[in-house]
Amino acid sequence: MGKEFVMPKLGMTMEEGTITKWLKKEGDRIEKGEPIVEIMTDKVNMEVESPYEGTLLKIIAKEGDVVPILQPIAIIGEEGEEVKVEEKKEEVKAEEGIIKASPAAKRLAREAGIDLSLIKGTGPDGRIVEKDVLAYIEAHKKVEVTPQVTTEPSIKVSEATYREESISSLRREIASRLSRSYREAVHITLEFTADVTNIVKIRERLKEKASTNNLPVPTFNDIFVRIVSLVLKDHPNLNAHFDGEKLTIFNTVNMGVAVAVKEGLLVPVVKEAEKKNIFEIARITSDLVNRTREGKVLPDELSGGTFTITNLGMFGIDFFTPIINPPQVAILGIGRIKEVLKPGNMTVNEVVLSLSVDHRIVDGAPAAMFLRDLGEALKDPVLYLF
Amino acid sequence: MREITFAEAIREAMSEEMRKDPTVFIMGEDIGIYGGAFGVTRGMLAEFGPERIKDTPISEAAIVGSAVGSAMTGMRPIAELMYVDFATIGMDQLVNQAAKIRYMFGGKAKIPMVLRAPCGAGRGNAAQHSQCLEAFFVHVPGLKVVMPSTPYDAKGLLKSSIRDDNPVVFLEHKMLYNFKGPVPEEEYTIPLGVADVKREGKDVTVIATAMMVHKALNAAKELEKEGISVEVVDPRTLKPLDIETLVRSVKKTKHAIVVHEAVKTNGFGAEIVAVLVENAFDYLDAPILRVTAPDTPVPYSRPLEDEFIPQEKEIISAIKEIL
Repeated sequence: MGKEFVMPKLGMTMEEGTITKWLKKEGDRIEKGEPIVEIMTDKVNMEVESPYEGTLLKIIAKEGDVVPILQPIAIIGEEGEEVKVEEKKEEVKAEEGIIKASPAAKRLAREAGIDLSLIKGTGPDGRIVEKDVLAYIEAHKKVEVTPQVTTEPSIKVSEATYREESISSLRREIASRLSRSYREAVHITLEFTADVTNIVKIRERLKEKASTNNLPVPTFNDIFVRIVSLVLKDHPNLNAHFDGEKLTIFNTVNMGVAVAVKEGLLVPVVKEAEKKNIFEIARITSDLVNRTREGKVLPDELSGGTFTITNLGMFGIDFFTPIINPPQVAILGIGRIKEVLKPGNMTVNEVVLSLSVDHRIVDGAPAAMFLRDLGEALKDPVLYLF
Repeated sequence: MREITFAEAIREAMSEEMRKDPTVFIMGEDIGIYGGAFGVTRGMLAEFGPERIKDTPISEAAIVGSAVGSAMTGMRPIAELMYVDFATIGMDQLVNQAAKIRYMFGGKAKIPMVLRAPCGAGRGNAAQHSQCLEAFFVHVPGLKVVMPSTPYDAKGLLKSSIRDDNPVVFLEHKMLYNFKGPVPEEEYTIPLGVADVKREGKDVTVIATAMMVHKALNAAKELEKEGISVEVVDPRTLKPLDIETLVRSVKKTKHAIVVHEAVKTNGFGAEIVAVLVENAFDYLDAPILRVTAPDTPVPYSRPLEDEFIPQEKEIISAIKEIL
């Protein structure tokens, strides 16, 4: 009887996976460690290696099937063996025995998002130890690396001057999304200097209101979320998704807010931002940002964005070129708010806005008009209300 | 560098501090003409005279008690016990007076005393003269505890202990007294609370104290032939304990063995294991094992005594068990 090949648990939160592609056909010979199927989770698309050597006797789950973890997706055995696909969903639980792994191995597997059940232990009593996980990562890496990526350091350097690190699954996902975006979307970035003198004054009043009414204190970013959401209502083409063929224009603004986390960047989403007042936005963003940094944000809260705001002002950056978060078509970068002396000894507050749009969908002129309207709304928010 | 014995290093530390500071003096049983049970104070009477090399009655309670009293009133006494086993008689003075006074008087009084005591088995001195009782002292807030393994460490740490304004229990393994090692002629001190990596390795960390440091180093040499790279770390000061160095080593090697000559249950090794589990749990690839004496009195019979004392072969087999 062949061995069942089950839907692997590729991440801590993974409960099911989608078969995106079978890399082998029924009857194909398979080496242990050879990639045989591509599986997509909520976060990553990844090639999965065979834990066994043998012949792929039967594919149980077809491409496109969504399968809960640890359910069989194929049978691997010796050629000519009889295949019996048993329906034994109840027994699956019994197979989840305790995996003997050292704390160091568990930590590393957790950080790299690797399922320990895929790894064979070589420690005492078959315990999985750190070097087993390292070996697995190393073996896995070899499969994924494409020749174009490997570049020899141009200068020969001694081993002590650099180190190689395997990247986290989050970093891998970020890398693949960004390169896809940069490859597919035709990026143009427009720079606009907005007068935010009134915004600075209004924030002071919002702070007072927050403290007297025990409300959360809105950040400048919250104010941008609020005003950009309102202005987007007049520029629906920037509040859209484009998949290369179909353009989806949204009636409501789900505002993504880029948050730097330890391993990279996540974009939690404020749903229906244009319908929320500034204090609701402040409460939602501070909660989302905190939970994102703690790694407690839910997948739903990271998806569904229709437009993204990214802010580097706190680092003293004025202008930058944000990369669009696909399938969105625009992203707004916000720089630092600075005091500028104008003729007549007038001081105003200014901020540089960096709007990247996908030129396939949004031309320069409509992007500029959005920035102009946003600039007016920031300069005189009261007038914008009327 | 010149090499001197562990006993000479201790004598040098005391003599140098006594020459520099007139408040430093030594008291203990037969430390004058006789030079102490292990000859550590030999020759000191001639240089410093009976006022500063004080022979005492055979009463550990009196020795420790008068050390506490003189420390309170401005002296820096070094009290020598013949065997740490007899510290139990001076324990009330040490635990309830020395360790408490600075705290209970809100810092108005301080107890800058050092209690030196030989410990350990290996001479056939039987159950009442061979124990390692460091765990008793470490358990008392207010006491510092030092347990060196080399002449260099003994001298540097004893000088720091004498200069410290708190009571320090300084434990000298009696089998180390004739152990020679490099000690510079120029002045140096070693701060309390700093561990020392006696040998660097990458596969397993052996944390050992006193005599066991040398057994661990021998075991490391043996295992090197088999391709196993052993790191040996000596805490040197048990309290305050240099947790950072121990944790750094274990994070590197993922494996730890704790070796001490004291009996196993509630030994200082248990504390080290706890500290490692608290601070380096996620870096461990195996349980931490203790190599210690069994939970028995120290036997008088030499073959049994050898059996009692942890030896290289036990350290080696513990390392192999977890790798």
